[in-house]
Amino acid sequence: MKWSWCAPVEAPVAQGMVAAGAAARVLLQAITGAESGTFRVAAHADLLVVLGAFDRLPWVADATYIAPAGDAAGLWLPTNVWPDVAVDLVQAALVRRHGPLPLLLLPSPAQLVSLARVVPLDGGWVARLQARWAGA
Amino acid sequence: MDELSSAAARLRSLVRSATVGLVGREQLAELILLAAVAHEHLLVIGPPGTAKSAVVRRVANLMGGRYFEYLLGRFTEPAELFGPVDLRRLREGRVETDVAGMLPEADVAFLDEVFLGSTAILNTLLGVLNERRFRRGHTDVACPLRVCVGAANALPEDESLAAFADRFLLRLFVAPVADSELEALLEGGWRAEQGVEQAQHALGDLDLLAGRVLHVNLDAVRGPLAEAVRALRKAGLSLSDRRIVRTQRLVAAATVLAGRQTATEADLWPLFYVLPSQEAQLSAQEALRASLKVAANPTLSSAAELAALQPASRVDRLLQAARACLATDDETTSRTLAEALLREIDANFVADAMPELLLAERTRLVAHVAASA
Repeated sequence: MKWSWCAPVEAPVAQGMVAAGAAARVLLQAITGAESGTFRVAAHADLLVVLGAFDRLPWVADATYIAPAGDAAGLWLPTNVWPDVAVDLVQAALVRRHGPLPLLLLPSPAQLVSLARVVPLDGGWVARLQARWAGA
Repeated sequence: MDELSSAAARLRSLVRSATVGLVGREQLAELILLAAVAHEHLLVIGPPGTAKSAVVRRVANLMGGRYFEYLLGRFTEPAELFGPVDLRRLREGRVETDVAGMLPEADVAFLDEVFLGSTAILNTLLGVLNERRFRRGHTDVACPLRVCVGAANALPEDESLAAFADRFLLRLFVAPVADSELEALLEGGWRAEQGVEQAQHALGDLDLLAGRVLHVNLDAVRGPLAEAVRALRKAGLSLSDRRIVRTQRLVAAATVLAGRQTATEADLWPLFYVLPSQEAQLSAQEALRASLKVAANPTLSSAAELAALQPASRVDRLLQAARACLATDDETTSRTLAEALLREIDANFVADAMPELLLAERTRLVAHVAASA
């Protein structure tokens, strides 16, 4: 299947955000101490994914806002750029090759991130991630 | 800046003031202005408690004119809206109405549950809405009414009431705020309780723009407007000839509210609000996508954006909001606002596809946030 990324006709309301490298560290600082139940989080290598209501998400330079892809609710995409083919087809192709949903697909650099292990944000999780990043 | 642009800019500031703390009600405030400038009326459909009356009251208060508001019921008497019979004149054998402080003297009127009015009330209202004249018994007076906003929980099914509803050319369907906006609703409601808006005495600006409506040059948009109506018909959405013709007044009003005398395709978006039902408006967003691709209005940016759901109108709204934010004196508020705007800009546009003007305002917002950190 050949496809490319394009601007969506209507950007969906973001339900999360993702940041990498230095931006991920700024994002972690921005969400640390948030009220319990506000955010759910996942971290992969130097990537930090934060899920929560749009108006509770912080603004961080170089972060990408994400949302489930309407007709393919198990597939998360950036809100400002979408595949130019039907998203349910993209989701079906990804599930066939890369396993269970939910998955986050990012354009540049092209990455597929599993959201299967998002957990509620708490102080212990923040401390463990900070220790991991400090030791990396 | 010429007289027209200055008046439009002042009305833009009025819309902003009217919706402080009222989450998701910008379109309502903007459509009240559009209707007032076009000499048309607005019908708002939505459940109780959705801040309909609060917005109308605040717009009316900021305009500085006489305001009349009434919640109609099945047993409402005509005298409750139009005034009691003048007993002094009755002794002289004349049936005249004492209209002092009542609907016939209002500049802005809000009639809640408007379809519950009796036949006598609705018939008299027709004259007030259509001709801006109040006629009852021996009384026949001109009404200064700029705009009447009617509200109801649902559109009437009764044919006779549908004819009355047709007098409200503009329709807006409102819903309770979304889950994601509840925090903003609570914060805004609290701020609104604390603040008292200063009247901006905008009736003069409103009248100036309304006076220019019939002089707007519509030559360039008649073809595209006809094309848009054809697109609606193709999608099974028909409008009466009367509504199609009167849409031109709304397009002309949108033009002067954008500070211009010549209409362009950017001004066609009011057509969306002429569609009479919520289902028709939802379907129209798809049918009108091509016709409204450049829809935008610097004064009525939220209403234009809702109608068009197009990047051009969204850019316009974000630009206005960014400029207003950067002009705010209160540092804490402006930083919070700047971050919220940056979040929305980044969620909607990738940097390399962002229009130049928006990119420039984004850069200023980022600098503002950094400076106040």
